Amino acid sequence: MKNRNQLNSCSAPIVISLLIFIFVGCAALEEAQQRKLDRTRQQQQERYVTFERPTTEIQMAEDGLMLESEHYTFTFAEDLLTHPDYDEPEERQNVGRGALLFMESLYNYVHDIFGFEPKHQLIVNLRQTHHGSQHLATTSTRTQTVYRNGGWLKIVQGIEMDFPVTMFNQRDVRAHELTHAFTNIYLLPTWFTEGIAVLVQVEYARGKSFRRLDLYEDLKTDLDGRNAVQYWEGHLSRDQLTEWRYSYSYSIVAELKKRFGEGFYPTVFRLMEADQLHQRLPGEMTTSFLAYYLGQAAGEDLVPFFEELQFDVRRITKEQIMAAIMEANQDQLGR
Amino acid sequence: MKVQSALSHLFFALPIVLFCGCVAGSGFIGEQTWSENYSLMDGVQANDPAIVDGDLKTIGQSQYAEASSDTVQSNHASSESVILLPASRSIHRVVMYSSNVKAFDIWVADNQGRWGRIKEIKNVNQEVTDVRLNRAVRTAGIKIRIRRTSDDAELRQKNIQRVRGWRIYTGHVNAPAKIAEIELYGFVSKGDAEDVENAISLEEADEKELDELLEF
Repeated sequence: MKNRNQLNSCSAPIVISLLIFIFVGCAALEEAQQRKLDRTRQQQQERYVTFERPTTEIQMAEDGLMLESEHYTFTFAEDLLTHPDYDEPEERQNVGRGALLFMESLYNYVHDIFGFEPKHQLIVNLRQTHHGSQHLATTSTRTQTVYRNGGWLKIVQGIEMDFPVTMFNQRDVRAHELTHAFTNIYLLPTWFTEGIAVLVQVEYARGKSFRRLDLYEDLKTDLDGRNAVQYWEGHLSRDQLTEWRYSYSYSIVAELKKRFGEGFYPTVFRLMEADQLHQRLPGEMTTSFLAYYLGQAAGEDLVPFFEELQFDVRRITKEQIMAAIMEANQDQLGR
Repeated sequence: MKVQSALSHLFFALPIVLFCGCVAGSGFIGEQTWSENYSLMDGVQANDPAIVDGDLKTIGQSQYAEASSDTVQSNHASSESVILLPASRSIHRVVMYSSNVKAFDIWVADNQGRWGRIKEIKNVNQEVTDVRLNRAVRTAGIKIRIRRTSDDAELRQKNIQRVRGWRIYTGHVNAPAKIAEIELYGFVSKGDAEDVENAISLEEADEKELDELLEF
C-alpha cells in the first residue's frame, strides 16, 4: 500500500513533466518547421527573383504612347507602332502597365541593394531597334555644368533608358540598365559603372551573360601597359575586347564585394553622397578619386590592389581632391 | 457465442456508421465552393508582379529560365512564370489568361523547395485556360513552364541566321508568354466563404464610414 502511494506521488510529477516536454517539443518542432519553410521560400525568391505587387498608380495617355508611374515615364518609340503587338492604343496601355509594374518592383529591388535612389523620373523608351541593333540597350544620364555658390557643379538633368523589345524581355538586362540609372548620378568611371551593373545583373538578377575572370591570369593591358579596362569609353565603342571588359570590370567589383562584404558599395555611395565632390570634379572621374572612396569604405588603402592590376593610379587625400577642384575653378574664372 | 454477439453488435453499428458517414460526406461535398484566388493573398510574390495583380488589363510575361550551372545563357532557354505563396495552400484549380501560350506544364514545389511536374497541357486554343487538377496539391510555390507560344516562329526567324549552311543564333528562340493573370484556387466550405464575404463587407462598411467622416 505504501509502495502504491509512493508510486502515485512519483507518477504525478512525471506525467506533468512529460506533458510539458511534449508541449515544448511540439512548439519547438513547429517553430523549426516554420524556419525551414521561410528558408526555402527565401531561396526560391533569390533563385527566381520574385517581387511582391507594388502599390503604384499608373497614368496613361489615351493613345497609349506614354504612361507614367511613381518613378518612371514609359514611352513607345515610333518604330514600334507598326508592330502587330503594339499598333492599337489598348495593346500599348496593357503592355505598358504590365511593364511599369515590373519596373517599379525592380526599382525597389535595386534601391534595397544600394540604399539610395536617383531624384529624377526615369524615362524608359521601348523600341524595335536602338542604334540600328536589336541587342543594344543603353542608359544615358544628361548632365549640365553650372556655376553655383562660387564653384562649378555638374548637375544631372535627366536619365533615359532605351530598350529594344528583345532586350527588354530579359530581366537581367533590365536590372543592368536600372543599376546604371541609379549609379550614373555619381558620374563614375566607365569600367566601374559597367562592373557594378554586371554585378547586379549576374549576382542579383541571375543573368548568365557574363562570367567572372581571374584578375591576374586574365589581365589584359593596352600598349602603354595600363589595364585595358581603365580608359574604356563604354558600350558604343565596341571592339574585340568589349566582352572581356564587361567581364573583367565585373570581376574587380565582385572581388571587392567579396573582400569587404554586402554593405561595401552602399557605404561607398553614402560617403560620396555626403561629400558631393563627384559633382565638382573637373573632367571625368578618375580611378584615383574612386580608389580614395573605395579605400575609405574598406578601411584600408586600396591603391596597391589597383597597382597590382596595372591601373594607372595614385594615392590621394581629400585635401588634394579639394585643392584640385579649387584650382580648376580659379582657372575657369580667370579665363 | 462470442462470435454471435460480436456479429450482432456489428450488425447494429454498421448502418449507424454508414448513415453518419453519408450525412457528413454529403454536407462536406455538397457545400464546397471555390476559395478566394490565392494569387491575390497578401505577401504573394511572382517573377513578374503583373501576373498576380488581379487586373486582366495588365500584361506581364514569363521570364527566361536560367541554367543552374555557371555557364553563359542558352538561346534555347524556355521561359517560366513563378508564383510563391506566403503559406502552403491546397490548390485544385489553375486559371491562366494568355494571348499567345500554346502549350505549358504546371510544376509545384514541395516543402524542401524541389519542383515536380503535375500537369502537361499540350494544345491551348483559347485565351483562358482553366485547369482542374486531378488531386489536391498542397504547396507554397507554383511554376508555369512555357513549352510553346504562337510567337516562337517569328522569333526564330529573327534570331537564327543561316550562313553557308551554318545556323547562327543571335538571341532567344523561344518567345516569352504574354500573361495577363494566373489565378490559383482551392476548395472551401460554403460557411468559410460566407465568413470571408461578410468580413469583406464589414471592411467596406468601415472604409465607407471613414470616407464619410473625412468628407464631413
